[in-house]
Amino acid sequence: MKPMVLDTQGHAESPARQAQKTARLAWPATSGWWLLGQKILRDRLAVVGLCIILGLLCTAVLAPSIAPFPADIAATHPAQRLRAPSVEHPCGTDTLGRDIYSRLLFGGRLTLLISLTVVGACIVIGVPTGLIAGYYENAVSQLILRTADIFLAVPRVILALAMAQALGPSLPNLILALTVTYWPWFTLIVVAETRTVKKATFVEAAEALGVSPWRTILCHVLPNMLSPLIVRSTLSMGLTIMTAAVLGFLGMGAQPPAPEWGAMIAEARLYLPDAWWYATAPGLAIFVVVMGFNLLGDALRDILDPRLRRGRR
Amino acid sequence: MAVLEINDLVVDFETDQGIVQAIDHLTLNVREGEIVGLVGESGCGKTTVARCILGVVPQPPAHIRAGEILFQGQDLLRVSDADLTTRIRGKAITFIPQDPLAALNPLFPVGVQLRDMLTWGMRRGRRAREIREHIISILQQVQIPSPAEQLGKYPHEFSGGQRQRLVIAAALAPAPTLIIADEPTSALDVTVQAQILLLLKSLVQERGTSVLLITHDLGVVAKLCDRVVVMYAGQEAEMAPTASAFTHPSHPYTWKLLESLPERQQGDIRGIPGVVPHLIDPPPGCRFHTRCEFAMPLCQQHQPAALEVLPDHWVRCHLFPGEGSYACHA
Repeated sequence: MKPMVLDTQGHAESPARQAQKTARLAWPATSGWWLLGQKILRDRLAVVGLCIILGLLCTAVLAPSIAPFPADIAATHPAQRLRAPSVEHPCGTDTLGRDIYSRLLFGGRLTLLISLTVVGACIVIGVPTGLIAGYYENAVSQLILRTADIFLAVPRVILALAMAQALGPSLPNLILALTVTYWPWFTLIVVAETRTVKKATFVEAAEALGVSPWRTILCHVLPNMLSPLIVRSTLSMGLTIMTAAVLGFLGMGAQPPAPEWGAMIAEARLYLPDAWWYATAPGLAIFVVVMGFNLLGDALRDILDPRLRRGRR
Repeated sequence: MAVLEINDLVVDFETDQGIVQAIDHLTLNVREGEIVGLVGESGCGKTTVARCILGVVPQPPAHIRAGEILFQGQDLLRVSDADLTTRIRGKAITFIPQDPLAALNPLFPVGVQLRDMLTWGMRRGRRAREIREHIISILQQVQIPSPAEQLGKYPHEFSGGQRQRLVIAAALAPAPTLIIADEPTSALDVTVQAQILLLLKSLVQERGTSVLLITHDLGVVAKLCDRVVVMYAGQEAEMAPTASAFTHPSHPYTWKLLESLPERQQGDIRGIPGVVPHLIDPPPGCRFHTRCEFAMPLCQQHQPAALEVLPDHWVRCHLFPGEGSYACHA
């Protein structure tokens, strides 16, 4: 007779389950990335968020081939204006007769372009400044921190609005304005993390052994703050998409005929409530994408920083 | 011969509230192959002493005002920083920290950390395999099971006791002359504490390594140390062979410390009345007179000098009037 193996609940385990366990042990359980992936896949809401983001990525890449009317970014068909959703036009048509669904797909490209560029630029600016300001305690770090304070003292949308207005409304200026108003958040997070990690004995030990400050910062301090950085970046994507849509709505971003979601809502508001599909489609797109990033960001925070875990089941 | 000799060390800290006299004319020594316990209440300057020896006191806010720290006859306070990093710190003098988890970088496998620590700063590295074998043998000696398989593991995969063993291995690996252990077992539970301390003792005795063991646990001192230095408010109150210190405690502070051990008395637990004096404005004369039941007018005016009351048993107290007794530091 085979020996029975009992699991923690006292149930006998099937051989298949045992085999599965062994297989799981065969994985390099120490790999942090692998563990992270496994935990994300176990979190239902995180999977939803991840699917939304992957969907956005796919549509952005494949937009020219999956859009039914790729030419409708610029073309006009006055005869078909303001058609309700149908099989031919799943999201209806707009005031110039363009297929809204096609424009949404291309708008996803713009959204991704804006948010990735802004968050990337914020990381590029925020991480080095934060590391310097957090690691050293000198005039330079004071300068960085006070500059960040100045930017944080002005409401983000208003500052971005003023900048976009001053530089002239265009996509690059929108990206610039969003970056300029958002980098201090990254700096502050990195400063706080740097100061925490710096106190650890292993950092002091590295210094005591004569490791150069730059090596200490890059090899010991920076890798230890990747988790909060990943979480902040993911949540920032959602926030940036939101702010970009607001500025687009106010006419500060990409100019017509570019299919920017915020600008599409702005055009559509004149035809509400009769052409309800016109504003609903881009509005839903913004809502779903922002929610996707937030769900994934929240889940990442719960996984990577268990101290902040909230009652989320 | 003394491996480490600290003479009249004075260290101040500049703070917003004023100057804190953390170490005030401290004198102590550690001889070859000896384990010396450094005991005292929290805040009496034990850790500052350790940091001074390793040359990792941040200056400012700290200022080393006077004194010398002789390591094998060489004054560490006057050695160049480059010399300190290439020859002494982490090579001839190593350190066992309080919290092993904070001491290990969570993102690197322990094997990598031990290797880097050993080879860092060496001009011509030894061959990789040699170093690996050396690390494995050290891990074996600190009784980590199947060490070769553990090298690729991360710190979080080890238990608290094993992490402390890893840190001890790190301290032993460069074959140092002196190990400074700052409350090496305060993060562990009692059963593991005993194991680790006895392991440490046997390992250093094998090698003839000297240890300065900072602790506040007199039980650990009794079990482990050859000699003990009792510190109070930045000064050594008593320095004696362990047996002598426990059988003939001579400084009133040492008596009180021993009296406050729960297992040595019947009935109530007795503490020492009062608190450690604030070191911004320390009491004049003997630092302990505010809490001492034998305080005399003399104690408030003059600091007592160290006096040898028994063989190798030094006390700083006016209860033992000697010719040095009136020599005044203040």
